[in-house]
Amino acid sequence: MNGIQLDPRIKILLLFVANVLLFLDSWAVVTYVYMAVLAMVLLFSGCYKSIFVFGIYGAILLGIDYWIFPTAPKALSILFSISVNYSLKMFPCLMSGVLLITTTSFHEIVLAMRKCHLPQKIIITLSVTIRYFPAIFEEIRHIHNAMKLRNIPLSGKFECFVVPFMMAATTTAEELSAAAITRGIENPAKKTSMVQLCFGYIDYFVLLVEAGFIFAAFVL
Amino acid sequence: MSEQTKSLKLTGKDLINIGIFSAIYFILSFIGMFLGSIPILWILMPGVIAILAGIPFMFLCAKVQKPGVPLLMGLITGLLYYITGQFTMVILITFVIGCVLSEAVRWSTKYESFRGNTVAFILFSYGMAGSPLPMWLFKESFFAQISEQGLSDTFVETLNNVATTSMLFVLLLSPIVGGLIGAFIAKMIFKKHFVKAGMI
Repeated sequence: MNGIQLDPRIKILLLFVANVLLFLDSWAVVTYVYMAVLAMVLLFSGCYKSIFVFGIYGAILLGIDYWIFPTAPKALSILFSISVNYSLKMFPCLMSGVLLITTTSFHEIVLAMRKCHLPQKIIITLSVTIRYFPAIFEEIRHIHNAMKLRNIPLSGKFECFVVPFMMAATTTAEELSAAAITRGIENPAKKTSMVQLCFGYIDYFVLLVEAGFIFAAFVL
Repeated sequence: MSEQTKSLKLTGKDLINIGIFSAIYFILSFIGMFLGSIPILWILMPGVIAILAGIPFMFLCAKVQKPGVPLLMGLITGLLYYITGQFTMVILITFVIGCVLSEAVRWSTKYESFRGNTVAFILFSYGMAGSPLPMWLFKESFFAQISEQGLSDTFVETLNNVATTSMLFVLLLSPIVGGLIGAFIAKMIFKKHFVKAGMI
């Protein structure tokens, strides 16, 4: 990634503010302005592709909401209106989430959490959870392929899926903990890191903007 | 398990176990949440999630017989829900209550008994009941709010017809029924496979 690099803590804060705006259900204009700010940040961080994708996706959703729903059959709009509306509302969260994931390494996120003095237990559990998501889908694909190969009838599908899936999860847990313990996960001493985090001018500037949004969300 | 390893503090291995099964639980509850975009299933959602997630939760409880499992799991799933923007104030409250009660039940049943864990699972499942609960808690303002948010009138109307007192009982009963079914499925699978394989 080229372009400016924000501090990971600031990126987490961007995500947090996006959620606060959603949580407080604040005035729509504030949310739209926030989306514009996020788009700017994405642009300056060099994520041109995600801006493009978000632009198209957002335009499609708005189009569906304004033109298709009023004319569509009743049942269809009942089924889909909630998902379209949710997706639109979640746009700021998605954008800041993408910013966080694409421009930060996982190590930096863990470091940021550590700098924010989160308890070690929560950091370990949370990082394992987030890292395990891609593995889940991989596991599912493998099991699916194996079932196809053996021609498992529909009645046996559930059992043949659940058992290896749970087995795989346990094995992963065993292996991961063996690796982590060797690397000193249970060492109570303060951990050091090669990467050092510190705020630059831009970080303070974004922080100020964030504070402005929080203020706006509560007042308006 | 030997006596020596029976300490009640969570080790790194336990934390990793909790992390992995929280990921599975989150995916399953997300599926339940997604099904919830159909009004009727929204009310049954806590029960549906309980049926889906019975196996991972009971498995984790059997594996990690120490305090803090439902609390940490609730915290992680809550945090992930918060990040994905699905959280409301009511869910937060029910989540906390569900996790604390579930923890208390596990504590009083010494973490080992399957029945105790089942009750703990049912209480844990009540956490998600906070999602449709605003329909009854603040009926007027809730419906005013969602129609203002631009949900179609037909959707709001369907929900309004569903939000009767008898449906409230359905909502409150669904975690119990779902939890029992989920625990029952888990028990069958455990007995048939995991106990023999020495995994629990």
